[in-house]
Amino acid sequence: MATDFLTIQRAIEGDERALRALWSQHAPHIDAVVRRLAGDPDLAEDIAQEVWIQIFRALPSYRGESQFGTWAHRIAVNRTLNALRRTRRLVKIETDMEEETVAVEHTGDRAMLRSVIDAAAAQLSPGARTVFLMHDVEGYTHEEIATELGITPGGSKSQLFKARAKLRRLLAHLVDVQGTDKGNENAAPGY
Amino acid sequence: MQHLAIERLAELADGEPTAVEREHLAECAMCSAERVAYQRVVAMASDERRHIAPPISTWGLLSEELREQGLITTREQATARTMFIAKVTTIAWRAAAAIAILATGLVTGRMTAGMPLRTALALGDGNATAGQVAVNADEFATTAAAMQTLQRAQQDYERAALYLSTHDTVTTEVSTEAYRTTLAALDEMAETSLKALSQAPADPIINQVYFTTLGARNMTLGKLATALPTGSRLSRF
Repeated sequence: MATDFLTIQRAIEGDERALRALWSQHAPHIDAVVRRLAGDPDLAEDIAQEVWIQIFRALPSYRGESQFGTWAHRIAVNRTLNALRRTRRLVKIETDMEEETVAVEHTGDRAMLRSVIDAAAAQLSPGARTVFLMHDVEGYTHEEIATELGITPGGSKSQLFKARAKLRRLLAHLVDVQGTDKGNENAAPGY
Repeated sequence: MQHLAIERLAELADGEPTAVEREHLAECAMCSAERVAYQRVVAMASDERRHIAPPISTWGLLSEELREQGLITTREQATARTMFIAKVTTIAWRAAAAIAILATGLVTGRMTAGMPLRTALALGDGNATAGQVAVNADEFATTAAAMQTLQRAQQDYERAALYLSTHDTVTTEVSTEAYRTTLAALDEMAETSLKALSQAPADPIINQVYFTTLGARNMTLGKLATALPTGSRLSRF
């Protein structure tokens, strides 16, 4: 989604219409990132507001080296993680995975699929959930995640694979290949 | 070979198996199905990125906050700012051109007074490297430290300008017209920055522009006075 350079210039100069145009064009994506990372809808709402203030404050530093949406997306992720740290949701990256089983509503309705995935992701530990969202959803590399979260790339990988394993179990009804031995949860014998 | 470990299968969702693992996956229906299941998890996550929804931020609240922080300006303010930037840029180019003419005249004057080219080009005390400043945008710890340095540089500039206007006698050959051109440009800059100051009296950058312009104007006035023929008095420029 290309953003007109002139609109950005006018937004830097404080033109309300230009600022609003940027917000209208990019809010659906930016707010979705915040919503996913924050989890809690009320918290996400507060953070989204904060994210947009930060994006507009940082506008003069936008050099046009990447798409405006990509640049704003980075700020959104960074700001959301900072906000989550502040609310003590990411005080510690948990390494152990809870083994509780969660009843995930089984539905074939495409519209409900997203909420099923959200519900499953919500069952992950905050650290694993953040790594999973940053890597598999937002497309960050392990090196970038390590820098953002202050962990090692190896730690990021470990969190990701544990998160995937848990999600695979929780979403078994959606991802199982026909003919797989479902009686044995998700695991092949000897695991 | 034993079945692949759960975390390895999770990794293989978007990773490449080794030759041994590939061989096993080709033979073991269960591990192969597991890998496909993990690939589906990753594909579902990837789809999620494309998901957009109505914004959770609201323009009403956001614009209120932006206005409080001064990030939204009125149309009049925005226009005035754009015009100020355009005007200062134009004047700065004119001043730079005038200074270039002045410097050329200065060097020519020194050479016609009998100075060799190297000496005529030298600035200050003749030690060319002493005047060079390393440009490093990150060298200041705070904006206050940078402003302090800027003020010190301005004072040094004014002292040096004052000294030169009374001691550098080899510049009298420079055309008085060149000084007048510089003075006119500097006056225009001073007037524009003064107008800007009336709108933003506390802006440190505009203050610096204004005072530096005044310093340069005083220096040029001094030079113009020494460039006039003996007995002449400066009544206009």
